[in-house]
Amino acid sequence: MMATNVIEGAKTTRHLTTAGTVIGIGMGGFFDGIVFHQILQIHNMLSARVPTDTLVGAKVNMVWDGLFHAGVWIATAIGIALLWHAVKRSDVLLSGKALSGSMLLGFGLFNLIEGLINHHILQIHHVYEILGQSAWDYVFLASGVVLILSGWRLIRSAGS
Amino acid sequence: MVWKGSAAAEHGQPAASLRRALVVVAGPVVAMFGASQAFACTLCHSRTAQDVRAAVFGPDFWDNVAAMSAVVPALVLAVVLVRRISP
Repeated sequence: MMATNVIEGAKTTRHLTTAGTVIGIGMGGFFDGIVFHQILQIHNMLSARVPTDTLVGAKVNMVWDGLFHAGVWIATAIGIALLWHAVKRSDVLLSGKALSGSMLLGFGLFNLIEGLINHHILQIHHVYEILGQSAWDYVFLASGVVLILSGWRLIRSAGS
Repeated sequence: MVWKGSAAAEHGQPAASLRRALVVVAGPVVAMFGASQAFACTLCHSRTAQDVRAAVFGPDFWDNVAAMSAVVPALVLAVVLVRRISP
């Protein structure tokens, strides 16, 4: 009965997609930090400014990586709080497609914006640091665009 | 379970088992605090720690903070935009 009421009163996915986008940004940041910074170690936060081939250089980058992870942790926490508020609203369409689509969208936004600003404009690091600016930086941007388009398509199909 | 040395302990003479227990529990605690922090914490007293601190909090500290933070307003704007155009 309650579910029926929610669906009948549902008008928008806006609050849900906002929450999902913020969560996606946080999780995109965690993916970057965990996979590229820590497991593969192909770049670190300031690896174009502070070389990582000495103990001190690696540890300095580790500090900045930690601050980066703190930031994406905060983004994820804010996203969870927004999601909590969204699911309590009666005018929100609780769509799995909209939520997963918006998380993909957020992931893509992170890759596109972080890639543009950090890899290309400020050049504080590059995807594959040993090469400097390389095709991998453009692959990173392209992955952002693909994720944004895929996510948006899912969001749009949520109401249909 | 009755503590074997409890009666003796009341008279100010801890039993051997109590002493052993104290060593087992307190030993690692003493060892932990007694160990050189230079090895346990590189952001404390080692030469490496000093170099790391000097590098992190060097003259380009705020420049690095600004560079790190530059993506935040752009991402916030993007989220606002997504919210506005969402169905």
